Amino acid sequence: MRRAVLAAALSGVACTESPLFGPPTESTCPPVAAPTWADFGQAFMTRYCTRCHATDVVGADRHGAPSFHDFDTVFGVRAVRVHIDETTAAGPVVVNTSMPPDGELPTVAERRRLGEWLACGAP
Amino acid sequence: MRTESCLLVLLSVAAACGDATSTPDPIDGGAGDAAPRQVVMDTRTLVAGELIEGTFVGGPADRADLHFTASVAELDWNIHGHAGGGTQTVAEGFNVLSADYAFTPSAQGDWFVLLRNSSAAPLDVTVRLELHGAITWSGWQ
Repeated sequence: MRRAVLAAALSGVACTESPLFGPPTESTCPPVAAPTWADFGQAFMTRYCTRCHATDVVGADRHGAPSFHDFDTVFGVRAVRVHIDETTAAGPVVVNTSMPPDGELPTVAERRRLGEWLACGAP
Repeated sequence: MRTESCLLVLLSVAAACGDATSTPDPIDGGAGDAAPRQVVMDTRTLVAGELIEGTFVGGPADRADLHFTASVAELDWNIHGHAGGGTQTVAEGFNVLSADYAFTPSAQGDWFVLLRNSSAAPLDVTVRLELHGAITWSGWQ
């Protein structure tokens, strides 16, 4: 009986694991000093993302990062920017923190800047 | 002679009745070989390394026939979903001149198509999407 209760409790824990995608942050593009790939995006991606999400990282070294989800170019970010917002960015509605899953983590301020950059269309 | 004519008429009537009472294929909801509900044609020029993503919304009763044609064999393509918070790669190809794929979603939801120019020069890509059932195409992001 105790085992059954324990198993049920553990399965409940597994089922309540945080989902990968949170809600959209509803970030907006700042009218002045909007971030760009050159002055924000590339450095952010290099620091927190491209150890897994890069075109030259393959196989097990990707740690499960799906193919085509590579952020070493602005095109790679731009194509899936909605999902990056839902995993990594912060905004008026929510702070999404499912990515990166480990290692050095962005500050909330950096996540907010990311949300703004993505809201601008990742220029 | 009269007997043969009667037989032909009877066969014709039987065939006609068979067509009229046939039931839709339960696997594809009748969309199998039917004409597509909608055809989307698009031509894009991708600069070197450019990647674009588009979205389908549909389910197991639907189908989208995808046809990609590139100017040179440098097109990468991918279909994937994010059901349950993960990523499910449905199909993909690399460095192709063209690709044809009949996509039936395994579950109702959003499904994503990625096209990438893997060359160092601009790449012209022609996309033809034939939508069957209720599947919809939301265009490129």
